Amino acid sequence: MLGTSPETRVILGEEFRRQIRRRSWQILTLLVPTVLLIALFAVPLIRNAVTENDPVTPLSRIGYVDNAGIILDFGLTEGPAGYADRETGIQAVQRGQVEAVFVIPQNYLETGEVQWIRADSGFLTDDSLAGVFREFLTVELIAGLVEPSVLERVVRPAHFTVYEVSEDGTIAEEPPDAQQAGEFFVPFIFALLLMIAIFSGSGSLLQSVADEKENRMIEMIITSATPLSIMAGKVFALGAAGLIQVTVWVISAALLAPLIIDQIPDAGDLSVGVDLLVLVLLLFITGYFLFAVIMAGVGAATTSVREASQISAIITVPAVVPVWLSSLLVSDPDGTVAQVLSYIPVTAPTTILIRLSAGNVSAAEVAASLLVITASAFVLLWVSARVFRAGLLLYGQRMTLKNVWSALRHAN
Amino acid sequence: MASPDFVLEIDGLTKSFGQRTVVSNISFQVRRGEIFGFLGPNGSGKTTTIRMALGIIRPDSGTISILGSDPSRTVLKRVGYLPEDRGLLRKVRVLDIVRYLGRLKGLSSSDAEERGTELLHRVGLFQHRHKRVEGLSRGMTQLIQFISAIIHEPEFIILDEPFAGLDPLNVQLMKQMLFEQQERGATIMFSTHIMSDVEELCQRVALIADSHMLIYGDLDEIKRDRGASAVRVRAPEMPRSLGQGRAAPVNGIMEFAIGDGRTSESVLRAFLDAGIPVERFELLLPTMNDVFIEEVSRARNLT
Repeated sequence: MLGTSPETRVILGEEFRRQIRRRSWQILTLLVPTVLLIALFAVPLIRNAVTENDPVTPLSRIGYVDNAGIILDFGLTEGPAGYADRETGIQAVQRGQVEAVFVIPQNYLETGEVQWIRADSGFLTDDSLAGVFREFLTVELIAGLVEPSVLERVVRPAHFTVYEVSEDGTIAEEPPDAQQAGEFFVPFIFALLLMIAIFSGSGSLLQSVADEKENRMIEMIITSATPLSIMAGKVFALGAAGLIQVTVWVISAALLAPLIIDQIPDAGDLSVGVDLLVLVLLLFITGYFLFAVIMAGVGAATTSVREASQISAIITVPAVVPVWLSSLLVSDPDGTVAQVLSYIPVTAPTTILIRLSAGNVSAAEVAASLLVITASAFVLLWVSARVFRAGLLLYGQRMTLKNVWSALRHAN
Repeated sequence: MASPDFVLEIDGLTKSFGQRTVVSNISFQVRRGEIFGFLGPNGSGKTTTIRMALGIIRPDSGTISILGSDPSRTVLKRVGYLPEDRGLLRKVRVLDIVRYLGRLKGLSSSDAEERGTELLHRVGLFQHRHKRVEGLSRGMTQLIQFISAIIHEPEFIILDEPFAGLDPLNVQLMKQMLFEQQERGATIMFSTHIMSDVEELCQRVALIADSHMLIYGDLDEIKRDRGASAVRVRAPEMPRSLGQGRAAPVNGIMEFAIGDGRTSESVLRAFLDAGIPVERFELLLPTMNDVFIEEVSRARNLT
C-alpha cells in the first residue's frame, strides 16, 4: 500500500513540513479568516458610518410644493418639507436642505404630472426618493378615506412567499435570500479558491520534483525509496496541506460568516446545507489531488524547473476554462457544455463547483464526476511514478513521447 | 552465486544509450572491508556503472550483486551513496536535509538528528545547521551530502568523485573520515581520476576507459607487473655515459628512467664500468599516474 510504506511516510512528513512553511501557503491559508475577520469588524463600522452620515429619514430628505392642495399637514417632524412655491423649493435644493423637491401642479388629480427637481449629480442619482415621495403621496391621497389596515395594504400590498416546481415535480419553498446567496457564493468561491490553491500548491510540488531532479538530489533519494513512494509521498503531503487549508477556511467561514450576516440589517440567516458543504469539500480535495498528481508528472517528465514551469502553465489552463465559461455554466447548468466539462478530469472539479452554485446537480452526476476525478488521479499517479522512473533511466536524453511510452511499458 | 567476501560483484555489465555504448562488458568485484578505487578518465563510464550497481538505471546485459543480492531498496538501505552531480534543495535547512536523508535510510527522527548533529560537528558545519543550503559554499554542500551518505553507518559506501571541488583541508578531512569508516568495518568504493588519492587510499582498483575495462586488481601487483619505471642510485658521482646533459647529483642520489633502450642492468653496468662504487641501487615501480596515462593512451591508440 502506498500510504503504509515507511519511505512514503518520511517523504510525506518532509514535504508536508516544507509545504506549510511556504509563505505563499501560509498567506493563502490565512487569507479567508483574515478577510472574514476584517469584514466582521468593518461591517458595523461601515453601517455606523452610513447611519451617522445619513441620520435623516428618507422623508426628511425630500420637499414638496403643493399647488393642488392635497397634502394634509399632520405636523410630522420627520415628514417632507413643504415649500410655498417652486423657486423656494429650488433654493432649498441648491442650499442642500433637501435632496429633491416635488412640485405638485394644480391639475395633478387630472394629469398625475409631478415635477421632480433635484441637484445635478451625474450618474449618481438616487431614484429611490421618487418611490419615497410616491408612497407619501399615496398615503396623503387616501388617508382619510380608508381604514389604517387597508391603508397599510395599499402602500405595501403583498409579501411574497415563492414556491418552486422542480423538473421532477417536487414543490419547495424558495429559500431566503441569504441562504440563496450562500448556496451561490460558497461553491463559486470554492471554485476560485481551488484555482488559486492549484496554482500555488501544485506549483510548489512541481518545483520540488523538478528541483530534486535538476540538482540530482534525487539520486540519493531513489536509492532509498521507489518512484511510486516518492510521488505518493509528495502528492499526499500536498493533499494534506490542502486539506488543512480548506479546513481552516471552512471553520473560519462557519464561525465568522453568521456573525457578519447578523450585522447586516434584513440579511436574514445565512445557512448552507451540510450536503452542499460536504460536496464542495470533496470536489476541492479530489480536484486538488488531481492537479497535484499532474504537476508531479510534469516535474518528472521535464529536465529543468524552467521547462517544468512552462509546461505547467499550459496544463493549468483547463482548470480556468470553467471559470471563463462561468456565465454560461450558471445560466445553463445542465447544458451540453456543462455536462461535457463535468466529465473531463481537469475541468470537472471547477465545473461541478460552478454548476452547484447555479442550482442543483443530481447526486448521480456529482458521484460520476468525483469518480472520474479520483480514478484519473490514481491512474496519473501511477503514470507519474513511471515517467519519473523513465526520467532517471534516460540520463542525458530529452524526454520525448516515444521515450515516455517506452518507459511506461518497461520501467519498474 | 554471491560470495560473502564481496560486497559488490559486477559481471559482464553493458549499457548503451541509443547508439552509444557507455559501458561494455565490465566485470569486477569489491572485497568486504577494503577501499576500492574505480578509476577512469572523464566520460569513461564510471558513473553509469555506479548507477547500475545501485539500481538507478538498468543494464542492457550483465549481472550485479550488491551485499549479496539484487540492488533492491531493502539492500540499498545498507549502502551509502554520494553522487557525482552534487546538489541539495536550496531552500531547505542543513540539519533538516541531513535528518530527512537519514530517515529515508531507516533511522528514527531522533537518531537521524543525533547522528546528523555529530557529523556536522565532525566536519565543522555545526554552526550552519539552521542555515538554508543556498547560503553555503559548494564545498560545504558537498560535505553535507557526504555526511548524509554515511549518517546511517552503511556497510558499503559508494562515492562518485568524492574529492572533486573540495579544498585540500576538506579533502584531508574526508580521507580521514573514510579511514574511520573503514575501521568501523565499512567497505568503500570511490571513483576518481586523481591518482594520488588512489595511491593514498586504495588497496585494489579497476581502471576503465572508453567504456572498457583496462586493469583490475591489487594496486601493488599492478605496479609490480609493469616492472621498474626507473632506478634510484646512491653513489659519489655519476658515470660520464649516463650524465650527459644532466645536473650533478644531490647528496649522491640519482634517478634514471627505464625505457628507450635503457634497462636497470645497463644503468648498473655503467657505474661498474666507470669504477664508481654504488652504495645503494633501487628499482622504482611506476606510479598509478604513470599506469593510468600509459594504459589509457594505449587503449585510445588501439581504438
